[in-house]
Amino acid sequence: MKKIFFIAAILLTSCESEVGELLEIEAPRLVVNALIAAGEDNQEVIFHQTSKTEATSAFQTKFEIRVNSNVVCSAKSDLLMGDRNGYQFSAESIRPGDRVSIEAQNGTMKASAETVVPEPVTIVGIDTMSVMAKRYSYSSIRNLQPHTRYMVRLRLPEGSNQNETQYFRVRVYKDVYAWSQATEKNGQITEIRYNIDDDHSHFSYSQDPALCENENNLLENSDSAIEIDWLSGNMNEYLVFRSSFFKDGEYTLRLDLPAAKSSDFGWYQNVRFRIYSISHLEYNYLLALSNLKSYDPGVITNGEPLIPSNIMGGAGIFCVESFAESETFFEDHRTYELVDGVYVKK
Amino acid sequence: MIFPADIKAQDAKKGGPLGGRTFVYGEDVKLQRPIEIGENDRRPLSEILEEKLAGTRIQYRITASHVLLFLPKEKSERNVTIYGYVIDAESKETLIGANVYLPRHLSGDNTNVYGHFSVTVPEGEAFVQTSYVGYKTDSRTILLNKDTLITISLKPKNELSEIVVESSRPETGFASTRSGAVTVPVQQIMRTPSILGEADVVKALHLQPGVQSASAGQASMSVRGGNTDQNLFLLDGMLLYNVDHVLGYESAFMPDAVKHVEFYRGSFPARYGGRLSSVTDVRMKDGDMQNYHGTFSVGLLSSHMTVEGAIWKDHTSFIVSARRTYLDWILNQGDLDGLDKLGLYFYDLNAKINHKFSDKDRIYLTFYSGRDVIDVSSSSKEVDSYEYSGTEYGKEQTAVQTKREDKERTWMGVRWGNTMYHARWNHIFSPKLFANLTAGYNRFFLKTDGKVESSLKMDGVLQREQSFDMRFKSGIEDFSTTFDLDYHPSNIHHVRMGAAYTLHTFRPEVQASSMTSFYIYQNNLSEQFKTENKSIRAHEAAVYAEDDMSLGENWQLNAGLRAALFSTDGKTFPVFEPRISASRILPNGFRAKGSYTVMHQYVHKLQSSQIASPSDLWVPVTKDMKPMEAHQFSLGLAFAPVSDGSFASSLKDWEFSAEVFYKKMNNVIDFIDGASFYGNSKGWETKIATGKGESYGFEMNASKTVGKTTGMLNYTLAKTDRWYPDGTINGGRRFPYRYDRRHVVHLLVQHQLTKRIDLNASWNFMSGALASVAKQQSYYIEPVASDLKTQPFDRVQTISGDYYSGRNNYRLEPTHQLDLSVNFHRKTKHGERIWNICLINAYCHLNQDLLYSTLEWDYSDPSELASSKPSDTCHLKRVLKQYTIIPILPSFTYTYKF
Repeated sequence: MKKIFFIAAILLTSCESEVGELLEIEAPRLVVNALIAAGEDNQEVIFHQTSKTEATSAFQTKFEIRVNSNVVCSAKSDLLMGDRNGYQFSAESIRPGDRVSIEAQNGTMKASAETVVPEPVTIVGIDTMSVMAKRYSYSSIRNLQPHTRYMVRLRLPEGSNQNETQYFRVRVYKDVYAWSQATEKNGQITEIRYNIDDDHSHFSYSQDPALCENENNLLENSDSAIEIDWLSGNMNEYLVFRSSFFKDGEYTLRLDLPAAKSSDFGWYQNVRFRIYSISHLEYNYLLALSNLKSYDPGVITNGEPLIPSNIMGGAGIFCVESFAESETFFEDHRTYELVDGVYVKK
Repeated sequence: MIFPADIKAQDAKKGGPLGGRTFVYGEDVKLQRPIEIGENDRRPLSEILEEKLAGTRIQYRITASHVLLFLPKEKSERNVTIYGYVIDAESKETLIGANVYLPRHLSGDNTNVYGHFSVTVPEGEAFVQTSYVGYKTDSRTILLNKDTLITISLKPKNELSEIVVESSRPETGFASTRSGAVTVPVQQIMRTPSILGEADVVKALHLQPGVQSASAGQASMSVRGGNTDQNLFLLDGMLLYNVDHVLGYESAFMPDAVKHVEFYRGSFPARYGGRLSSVTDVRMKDGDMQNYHGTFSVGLLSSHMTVEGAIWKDHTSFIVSARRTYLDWILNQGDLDGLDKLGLYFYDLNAKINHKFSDKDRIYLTFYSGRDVIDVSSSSKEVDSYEYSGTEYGKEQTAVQTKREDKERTWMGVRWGNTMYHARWNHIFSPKLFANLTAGYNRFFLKTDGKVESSLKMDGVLQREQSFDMRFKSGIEDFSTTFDLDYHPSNIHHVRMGAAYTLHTFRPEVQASSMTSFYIYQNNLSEQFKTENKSIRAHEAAVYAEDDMSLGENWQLNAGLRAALFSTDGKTFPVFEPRISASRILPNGFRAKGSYTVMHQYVHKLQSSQIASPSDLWVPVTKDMKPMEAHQFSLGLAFAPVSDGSFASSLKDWEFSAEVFYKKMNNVIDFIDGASFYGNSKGWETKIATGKGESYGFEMNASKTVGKTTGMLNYTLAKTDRWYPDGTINGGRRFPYRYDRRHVVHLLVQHQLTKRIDLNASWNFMSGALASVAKQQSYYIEPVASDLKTQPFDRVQTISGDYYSGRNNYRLEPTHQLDLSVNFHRKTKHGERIWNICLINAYCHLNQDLLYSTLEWDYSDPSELASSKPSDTCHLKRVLKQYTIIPILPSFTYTYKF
């Protein structure tokens, strides 16, 4: 809405002009970026350095990661997949409650950070139900379609202070196989082809107050793309939520995923939910990042997207998350099974 | 030089020992012989008087304007009280802050905001002098043998002249106990150059020391380093939440209807509360009890009109003021850059009725409504025809002519404003006790409606039709009541006390929208969207008491206490606010002042960008958020030169003041880094942080209030910063606040060139404000969805973006601006007409009001500009761009008074 006021302001009297090139030179900073999942292998810490016009990789950055003051990783950064400069290491030994720190140096640039691994939430169970829901796409509504509503029951960690807000984000991994066509040979089915629907991004959290930060809200995730500027503020790009919506330490997360397309040949659907416990800083960081991505510097009535950081002397973010995970597996209408290379009816 | 024993004031040479003072004494003072002072007598006046009055019982006192002669008081004297109202002799309008002074008794009072005064003196003959800026002084002798209720009428005069009577304790100004408290003359407001020639109350306050406009042209202001939401605006004692009209170019107060403006930036009286940084108490006119008259004014962009008169002569009067802009009409005459219509206007309506039941009872009914409206609509229609030919189902199709018609229409309307009703009853319970009871309703709202419609027809057959409706509402409703008592137990005490209660209902935000779609191959579909913050109820109550007292001849003290509580969200916040101001009269026209005040604030305005807008939401404290608190100390020295023959006496029409202040603020709020509403306040509690603030500085003021040339020069040297220990803002590091302008200079000169022409100029200089500007690029990490089959763990990726090294890391260029205006007055048969010509930012200085940085390609070869793809020789550069809100703005206005 501020855009409207801004347009009105411009129409009234104001004028825009170029001041010139920014002459001030800020010292470059070492950028340390890591969102580490405690207990996981193949975790990355990535190094860059800021510059006036284009941030660059900070090659050969020396760094040391400590867990509870014990060095668990001491190395120099190197090229990673996708031209990233960083280091891949195992975080399998990191546990909730651990104090994890990093110190990094590249030339004269130094950076350090420390974080505490939050306790993970417990996934008590997952219930599902079939619902008919509409899909939204590019400002239009599609017909009602069958969806599966996943109700993920969460419980705060034992002994945690329920008056203190805790922060989370959720990730949904979905693989759907739907058999669609068969090849017949001599009256026998020798091959069944299938479609893969592995669109991880499409699901609706419109029925979930914690993800919508509200009751009575009805919005989809990024796929809905309703380009009304003040509604776009409702998008929860990184699916973060907080414990303020928990009651007596428990909460049921509600997510609607499109049901797999029905097929005579059957289908199966594997859906995995990961609930990350994150720090308050990471929660704020992800919200800010979402704003940065939609920030238009020409429309300065928008607030400047300052991104929170916990890197002393540098920039970036260094956080360690813990997580709880649960998986569901559905099979339906599997009318054929493979026996000696031939599909036979069950 | 011989002064006869005559009560009439005598002129004297200003350079002599009397320094222009006159003698004042009553019939009880019997001079045996005239007091003679030799032409060349250069002894101090006190020495001369000691000699001349030796051997008599007569005592004397020398004040700035008088030599008072009196006999010592007899202890057995009975005291009586003279009380009542001071009014305008023509309109019968009560006058606020008028001086009622009994020089022989060294007693006096200033009329309160309802025009009431009360002075207790020994019975007998009393000489009463009553004066007020812009009015002829009234002098009268009254025989007081009982409590006496009088109404003193003052006759207006056209020029500002010296006030010849000292008051004991005015509320504001040099002689007040308080520092940082001024009464801004309405005449000064009317003549101060202002945008589009529209005199503006709030913008006139921007010229005060310690005050700066939040942004060029905007009415919102920062006082002593405070935020723009820390200013209390009262209209006839009722709070207004949003006083800005369209983008802040005008404030909601219409000067035509304004009678009196008091402004406090420190040493706040105990009767005010709820904001940290300033109090602006605006009182509307009551309406002429005698005659019908009014004003209408036509300007380039707005017109306004005021009519007042008697409904029942000497008993009931009314005043109605209305204003409306017609910028919408003007804009729609030109090219709207693709828009069909742009409505952009505001209006105000003020109405007041007052009825005098008796000399002791009055009732006032007040209504105010202000609206701002922005309507924007656009439409597009594309019609094209094309031929289709090809193969379908293996057969060659002949060419088919198809007509395609695509239409879209968008409309959006934004409305916001205040509505206020209130009733007030004034009653004089006794000569020493005056009461005011007020009950009112106040509402601020913001409402947005919008609609997007689109349709597609192929060969006249509807293929698709969609519409999207949206609504946005937010607002506050207050029901409030206050009860105030003015009690004058004796001449050395003036006690004010009272209680107030307000029921707030905050509706921070409700968004709703609906979508309907029709597709040729589908059913009609519709869906409702709704998101809302729960409405929040809050109770605010306060009791206060303050005593303005004289401690001996030279000391004055105002001690007060305000106890308040705010209850919301199941939690109650009680607060105690001591308010102490003291002043000491020093020799040679100097006066030292000091104060300590504590203020609390329970509501906040969430402003997410450099520009304030009505979509910024007012929200209350919550159970997790304590009220904001400010402790403010100030020490000042005021100087009003006296006529003692010295050099300073040549500056007799001037007043000077200097003041240092220190303000410590707790629980101030701001958005955490990266938080933004984009017009959405969902979960606002999680997006703000509470921290601390500190402001300190030095303020200097020189004012000339009398003569053909009047004006003031103000200078402020100040520093203000904030820090948020939880680390959510600027990593917990202390940072300069956005209004941390080191030097601020305001100059106002108003000159009466002839009886018919007055010239006015104001010039402002301010060190640059602060902004958060990206000076570098960085990389940010984000989680991305992984493929379950191939990668069983979560992935991250990096994205490039602007890097802000800190909050408010860039100081803008200093801003300065000269505004000029000239008024041509001419008396006509039935009234007076005035032409106003005004030029804002006369030398068109392009001030940096808003600034941002962006990356652009630097083309070494200009011919490459035409190429969409930069070549290898190009490089990126970081460029700063600025917005100047008002480059230069001329205007003229025609006003007719009848």
